[in-house]
Amino acid sequence: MHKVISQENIADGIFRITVDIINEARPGQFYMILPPGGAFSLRRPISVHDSTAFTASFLYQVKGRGTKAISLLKSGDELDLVGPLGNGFSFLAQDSVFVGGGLGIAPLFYAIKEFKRAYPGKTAACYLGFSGEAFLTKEYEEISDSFGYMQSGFITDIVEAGSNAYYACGPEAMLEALLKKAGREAHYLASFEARMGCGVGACYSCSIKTASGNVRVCTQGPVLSAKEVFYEQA
Amino acid sequence: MSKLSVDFLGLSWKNPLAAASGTFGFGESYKSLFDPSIIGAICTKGITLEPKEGNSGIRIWETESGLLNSIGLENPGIDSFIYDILPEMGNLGTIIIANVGGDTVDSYLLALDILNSADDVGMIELNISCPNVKAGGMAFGVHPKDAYWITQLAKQVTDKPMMVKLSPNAYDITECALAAESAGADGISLVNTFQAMAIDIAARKPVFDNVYAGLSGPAIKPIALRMLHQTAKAVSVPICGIGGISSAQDVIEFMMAGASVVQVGSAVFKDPYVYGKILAGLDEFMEKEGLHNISEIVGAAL
Ligand SMILES: Cc1cc2nc3c(=O)[nH]c(=O)nc-3n(C[C@H](O)[C@H](O)[C@H](O)COP(=O)(O)OP(=O)(O)OC[C@H]3O[C@@H](n4cnc5c(N)ncnc54)[C@H](O)[C@@H]3O)c2cc1C
Ligand SMILES: Cc1cc2nc3c(=O)[nH]c(=O)nc-3n(C[C@H](O)[C@H](O)[C@H](O)COP(=O)(O)O)c2cc1C
Ligand code: FES
Repeated sequence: MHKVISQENIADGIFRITVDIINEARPGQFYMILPPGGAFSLRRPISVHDSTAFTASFLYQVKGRGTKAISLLKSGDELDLVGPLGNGFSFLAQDSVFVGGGLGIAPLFYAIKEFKRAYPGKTAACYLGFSGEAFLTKEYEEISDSFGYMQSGFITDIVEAGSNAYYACGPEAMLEALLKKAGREAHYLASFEARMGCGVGACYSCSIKTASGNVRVCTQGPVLSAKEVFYEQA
Repeated sequence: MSKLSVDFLGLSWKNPLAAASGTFGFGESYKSLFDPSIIGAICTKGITLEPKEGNSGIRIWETESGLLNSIGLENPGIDSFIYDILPEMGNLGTIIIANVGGDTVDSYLLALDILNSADDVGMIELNISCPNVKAGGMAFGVHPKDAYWITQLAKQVTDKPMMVKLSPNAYDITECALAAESAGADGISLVNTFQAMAIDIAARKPVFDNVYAGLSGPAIKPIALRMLHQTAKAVSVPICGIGGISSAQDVIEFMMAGASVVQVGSAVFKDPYVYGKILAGLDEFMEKEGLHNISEIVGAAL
């Protein structure tokens, strides 16, 4: 059990919860969060959005009853989480492009911060696509070298191609469109979603097909090479 | 002998808790969270002769007090199990139960034959809830005569102690248990998941590509307990109880209804530390009741 330090309502249906936890997470990793109240059989996978030495934050959207229950927690309450889990992003020492769509922007905040910490001399270009209300744009702009966002349309339209390293999270259509833009030669890693039972590789609930056979998103991912996943694309 | 140790099918278990097939991988998955050697035995993910890719579409779905799964028996196949997985699994420090599935009788028998050479496998759990391809997909475990037939052939092939895992979707689970017993099963485990479904109302279609899925978790516990109780009254071979167990109280209920040992499945998703908590709860119960060994309660409520 971990103490909730804060719960912020960032935008309509969007919350950021910060908990007291010793940070061991790499960017792109996630926690399995048990929504409070005892009525849940499955934990919810949520990516690490930000982290300091003694905190982790999660940026999430209220989708169903689990995320709803999490959003009702207040500072001082307890949250049951297991993690960090999954592989996380592995960065190249190159100027890089980060693309997020919808709540897929969540893991990119910590990813960009850690990328810049590891490679201060390399640039991080950040592009965020929202459907409707935009949020946290200032915070993302501050940690990036260049920044752009859209409230409708395809964020990949404004991504400047020509970089060698891409990191993304968002709807599959966006991830696939970015692959066209980046080209199959680029180092392009994306964080994928799948419904999960265990989160640790035990149950095969989260298997997806890739060029090299089935992979379990929870342990072999959630960060996977986009061209391995979209292997049928020309 | 410790208070929790029990004998089951000729093997000495350090405690009566096993991890249920399909919820504990091949024993390695939870290692970063706790030491799996605290568990009495681990049932592998269902293994088939050939590797299986599993079902397309959504594979897991939360329900009130339970969950539905439609994994489709994804597994690396018997050869990969023996060469890639078992060497490490054999060092976990607990009994390994190979859960074997198949879609034809021959595929079961070949897999069992290959497992005879695997010394690290302590016993077999024959999963007869699998659809029999040659019988139009009807599960082997639905009719007592099919349960008899597959059990008898399996017993002729395997050298290991074998329990037959029954499906609650059988026409009459007690009849199936009797059939498996008379065909030579050393033990019975029950239950597998209950056939169930969910509907996506926005799409106006079933959630699962396979339409029907299997229900597990606390929702099935009272029914599983009733099936176990009826079966325990009917058969004399030892029984492993399964279905919605998530606490020491549940384990005690199953043992009082006639289970010698039990398996914990879906509960581990909610709480990966559930095994340790159940063991502590059992210790406390025995202390309070002044028991010398947990086996003393087996069948107490029959
Ligand atoms: C690795 C990973 C990281 C994620 N990170 C974030 C994040 O940072 N912020 C965020 O808002 N969301 C994130 N998600 C999606 C988030 O897990 C779901 O929105 C959430 O589980 C929905 O739960 P619910 O109870 O509100 O919805 P319900 O629909 O009531 O949930 C029912 C069941 O379906 C599962 N489920 C429903 N939608 C999804 C989904 N899209 N992905 C996986 N499981 C789902 C739930 O976990 C639960 O088991 C992530 C998903 C994955 C796989
Ligand atoms: C995700 C999942 C996968 C399963 N896979 C198998 C399997 O491969 N073979 C098998 O015999 N049972 C399988 N089962 C059934 C369980 O072993 C167990 O019989 C059932 O879930 C009931 O127990 P529970 O309520 O404690 O989960 C699976 C169950 C779940 C939830
Ligand atoms: S969620 Fe269980 S294997 Fe990935």
